[in-house]
Amino acid sequence: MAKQIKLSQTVYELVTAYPEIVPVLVSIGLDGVTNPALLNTAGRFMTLPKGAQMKQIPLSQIVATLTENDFEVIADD
Amino acid sequence: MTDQHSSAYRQKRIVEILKMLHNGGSFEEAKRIFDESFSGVDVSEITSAERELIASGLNPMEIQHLCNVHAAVFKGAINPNGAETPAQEQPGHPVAVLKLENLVINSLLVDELLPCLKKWQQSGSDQAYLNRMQQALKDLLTIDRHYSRKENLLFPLMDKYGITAPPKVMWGVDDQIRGLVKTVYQMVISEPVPDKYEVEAAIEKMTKEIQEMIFKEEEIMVPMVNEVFTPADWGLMADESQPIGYTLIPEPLPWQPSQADLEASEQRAVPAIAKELNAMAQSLADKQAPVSRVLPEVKTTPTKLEAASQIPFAIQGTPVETPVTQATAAEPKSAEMPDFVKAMLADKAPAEKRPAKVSRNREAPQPHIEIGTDNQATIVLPSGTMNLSELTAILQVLPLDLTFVDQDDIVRWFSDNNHRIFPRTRAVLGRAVVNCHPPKSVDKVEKILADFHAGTEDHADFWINFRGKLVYIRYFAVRDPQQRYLGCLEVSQDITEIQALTGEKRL
Repeated sequence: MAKQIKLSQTVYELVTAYPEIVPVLVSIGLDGVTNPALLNTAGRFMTLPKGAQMKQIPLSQIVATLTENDFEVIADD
Repeated sequence: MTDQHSSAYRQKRIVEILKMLHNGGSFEEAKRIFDESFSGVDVSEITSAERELIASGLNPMEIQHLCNVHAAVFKGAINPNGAETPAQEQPGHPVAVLKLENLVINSLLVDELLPCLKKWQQSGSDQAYLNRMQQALKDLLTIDRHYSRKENLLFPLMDKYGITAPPKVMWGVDDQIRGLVKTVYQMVISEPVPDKYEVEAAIEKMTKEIQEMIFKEEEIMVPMVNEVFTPADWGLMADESQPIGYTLIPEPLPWQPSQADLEASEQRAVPAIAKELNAMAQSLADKQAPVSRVLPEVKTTPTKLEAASQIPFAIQGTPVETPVTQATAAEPKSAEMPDFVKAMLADKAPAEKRPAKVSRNREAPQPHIEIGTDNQATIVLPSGTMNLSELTAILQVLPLDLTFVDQDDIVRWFSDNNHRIFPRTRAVLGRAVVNCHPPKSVDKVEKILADFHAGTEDHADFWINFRGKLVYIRYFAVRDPQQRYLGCLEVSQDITEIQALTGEKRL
């Protein structure tokens, strides 16, 4: 079963739940996640939609990359 | 009320509101007076009163402040539930200032620089567009102030709350952007201007970095600091911003937190996230500190060893909650003695000279403080006495900029003569000095301090060209008569005029 993630989750929450998501996040330019001190601070405020906006990449592209890597983006409650 | 419909009355009220805002009056109060004076008054009537004021000599910039009030009143009228303007949207609040600058910076990029670049490229070589690009980039150089306020005011406060990694990373990127802006500016003013595609690539890279930084500041940094900052922190930042200056905006209105906000924040429990961040920073500091602060190991004579044992490895910040970067003292390492230390040991002359100097002063009184019958303190120094107000005034008059960092490498004091070469702000007090420097110079700062702590150096001197001035910057190790290290004194001085002196002018 695919690993389920939500767009409202912070990258800190994502990495805590699925450490294997790190390379995917790095590939979209969110390389701060490899720095634990940064992940634990700024990472609590960074989300995938924010990352998309910051890096000026379409969110759909990020979702597609995640899907390829066996993550399922589910709706927020 | 016929009175309310006269233009003279409106002008008077407008001036009253502006005066109040300039004197640091509350924004809510300004809104109330505005609403009371002008509800039911047609906007055209207000603008005509404003025009008359400008005609009679009011700075048009002032009207901008009034527009802020007007807009906020209007917003309140549309949405009566949110009648109170959030603090961070009030003019002069550091967040409002930061966002306003970002708005202008972004507009300079997307509404001026990029369109001009495009037209310049298409036109072949239209000098008019090139001139506009040069001007836009020249204006953009002032982004330095936007970053400096962040680095010297916001970062120290973040530091205090245990948020240490993001400021370090961000400062590095700020410096990178400063470099990019300078490079691009140099490109467009050089003759001949380099290849158009090269210029385009450089401008695009710079724009992308600046925009990304704007996003980080507003969407990550501000929400993060909002978890921990108190209204008093924002007040301090607003207070200390002016000497550093602003990027492409006029000086903002004075802003201070309301008494109610200050009181409410005292009641506030420490946010969970602050606790977590502190705990996190603590554990990271425990892990990293011994590595990051490797001081040269000194094997010396007993007196020096005694001094060395007092070298504080602990960086004792004074955070609100718990010490955040309390490093544990590093275990003595069996490192090879560096050559320069051996050389220092061989040359014992300096160590022998010093006690002689002390003994010469044996007659002088031990420094102490006397409290007189009038409750006034007198500071008794070996070479004379001063009272506190004299000392304060003397330090202000010294034609030097001083900054003192204590034996724990914490910034403790700076001289404030209102025209410092490098502005210092109270926000840096209590901050580890290594965190007050751009990442690229941290190594050098650490080296100087390590040499001072170890007793291998007593001063380090630099001279730089800074904004058209030649600035002489000297660092001195401060030691007590027993040669115990007390701290480091930074002395900087604009020596441009001194260097230009010729001949003599006698008393």
